[in-house]
Amino acid sequence: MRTLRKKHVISRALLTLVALIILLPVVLTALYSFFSPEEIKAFMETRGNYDASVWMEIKLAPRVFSLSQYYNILIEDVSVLRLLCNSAMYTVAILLGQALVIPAMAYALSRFKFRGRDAIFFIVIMLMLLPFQVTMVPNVLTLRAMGLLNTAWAVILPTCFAPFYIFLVRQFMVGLPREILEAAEVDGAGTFRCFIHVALPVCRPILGAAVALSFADCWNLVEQPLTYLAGQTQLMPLSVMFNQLTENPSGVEFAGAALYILPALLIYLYFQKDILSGIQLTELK
Amino acid sequence: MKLKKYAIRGLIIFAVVVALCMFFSGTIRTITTAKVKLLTPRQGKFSEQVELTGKVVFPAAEPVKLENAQGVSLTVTSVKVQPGSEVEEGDVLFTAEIADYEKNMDTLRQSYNEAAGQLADLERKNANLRLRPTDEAWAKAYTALAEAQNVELDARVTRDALLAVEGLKAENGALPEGASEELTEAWAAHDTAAQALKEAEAAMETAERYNISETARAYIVDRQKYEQQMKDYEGQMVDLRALRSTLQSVTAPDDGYITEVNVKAGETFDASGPAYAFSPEKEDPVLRIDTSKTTLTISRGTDVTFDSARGGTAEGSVDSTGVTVSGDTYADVELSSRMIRDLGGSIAMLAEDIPVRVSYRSNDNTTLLPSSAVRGAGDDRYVYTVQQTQSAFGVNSLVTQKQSVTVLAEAEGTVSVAEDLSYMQIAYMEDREIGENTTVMEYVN
Repeated sequence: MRTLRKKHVISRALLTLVALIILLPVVLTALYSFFSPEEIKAFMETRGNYDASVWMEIKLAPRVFSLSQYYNILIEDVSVLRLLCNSAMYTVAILLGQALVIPAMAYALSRFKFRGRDAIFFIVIMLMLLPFQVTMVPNVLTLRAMGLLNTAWAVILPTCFAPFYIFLVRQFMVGLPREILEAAEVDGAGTFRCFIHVALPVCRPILGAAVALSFADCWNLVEQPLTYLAGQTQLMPLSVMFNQLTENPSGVEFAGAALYILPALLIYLYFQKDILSGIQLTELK
Repeated sequence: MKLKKYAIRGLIIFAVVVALCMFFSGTIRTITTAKVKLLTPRQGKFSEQVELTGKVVFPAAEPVKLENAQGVSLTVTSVKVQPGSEVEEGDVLFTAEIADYEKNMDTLRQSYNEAAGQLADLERKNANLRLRPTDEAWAKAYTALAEAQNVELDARVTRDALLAVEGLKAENGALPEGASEELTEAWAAHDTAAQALKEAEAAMETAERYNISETARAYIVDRQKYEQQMKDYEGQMVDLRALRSTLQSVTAPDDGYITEVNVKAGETFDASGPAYAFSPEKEDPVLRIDTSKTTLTISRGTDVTFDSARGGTAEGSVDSTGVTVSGDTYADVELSSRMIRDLGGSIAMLAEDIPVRVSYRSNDNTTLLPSSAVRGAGDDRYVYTVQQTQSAFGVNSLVTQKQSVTVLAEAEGTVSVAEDLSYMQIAYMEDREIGENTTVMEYVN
């Protein structure tokens, strides 16, 4: 028992240390957002211009506590908010699209037997394994042919079909007890009713996990907007424009980052239990 | 469940804050941002009319002393002129009398009589004394020696005084290098006087060999002394009488203007100081305008309009400029006789300051700005230029930049600066205080 406790202490200490290291960027982001823009600008300009022989300075307290960064973002120049709205718009639209496509497809692949089902599932797995760079060019060609390139739909539509979440939900649905659906059918429920009123409520944990994970994906879109929205800066999400913020220090990077983190953090808090239970359930299968 | 509630509330609050900020940011920005007027400076010749004051000055005026009345106390009986009076040669300026003239005259007469009496006594005492030719020769040598000594003394004093003034020293009896012409002449005069003294001393030495008796010697010396005294008193009486005649009417030496009168009727006057100042007519008076109170660079040719105390108006132009000993700048406008007449005469013009309107127009094109656009004081003058900056997201805003300027001239409402700012936009008439790197908005309408 003592040895076990000792092991726990050591492992907890190590985990705490790792957690602190992982959290450090988030904490620093929050801390630096209260520095004045001038101070943070000066600090950022020291990047790439440091003496390797001495420890790099890490500022832990501002000279003057300031809300100027937030004021600049929220009042002075609401460009960041516009981009944040773009991000929210893409995220909501993609999640809605995925809500229509993914559960239905996963249900079909898990419950129905039809010719070509395995082939379709194989394609889904293949697409899941292929990196974005491989499918990028065909996507561009297709979108151009459809006249959707450089429009918001170019980002929304391809992302609605997310192979990973199809696979995830399908695997969960495969494990559902057949008796539940058969009982519903005996009670007179049709296929659609079984899907809506039986399968989806049962799949709620995995759907919650999928929504949370997909939210993170959509919130952090970079390659898709850069590829499909070339030159359309007004349509870009904040995740893409952050690159410009850090290239030309404007003194509001950290407040922007803090605001950017906040919705993702709240979504994670909302779906925290679903994520954990969904992953656990998937593992049990 | 609690966590979910908090998360949902947080998301709703976040969304509301974002929405409110986007909705009201423009309004808040409009309220909190300084509004300015923007101006593209124009190039032009700076012209301005400024009100200054001037005084009539006679540049050629010289103080006049009554040289023949030095050391004499005078009582002024009447003054015929005042500052600014135009006079002709021979015009009476003032009359004066020598204070205690009769008393002084009596004293001199008494001294003269006393010396004459002593000389008569001497002649009577030495009535039996017959001077031989050798005695006469000795007397002549004695007189010559006394005169030569006086002349040499005067010449030596003059020379040594000039040496002291010029900071030179005579070494080995030679004229030092760097001596002025005056000193050289004084040096030569002393050499001549010293030579004459030597000759007189030699003559006296020769005369001493004549075996002159003590009685004759004393007689000759005393007689010469009394004769000299009588001569001096007589001369003083003549001078006093002549001075009295002169002072009965002090007249103008030439045609011209009396610029200053230092005598007052009924008061005594110390003749060691100047009695009046006189400017010859050929030298015109000038109106000296005090330009130290304006930043305009008044130069030759600038038009000037001025009024006299009596209501007359005249036009002229600046003929010259200068700086007084105290560092104040001035501009002179020559006044012709006609202008002086138009302005009520020189007496009226001299009586008080004359208001002057100076119509300034610069010779070169400069940048003209409204006064409110040029800030700072002294040598640190600047304007705020406005530059368009673009944020990382492409949003344009106007930001002020400090731009130092050199002010050439400044008058009510307009400032002339040396720098060419025609390619810039200048911020002015702000609704609140602005500084460098301040984000501003332009007034609309």
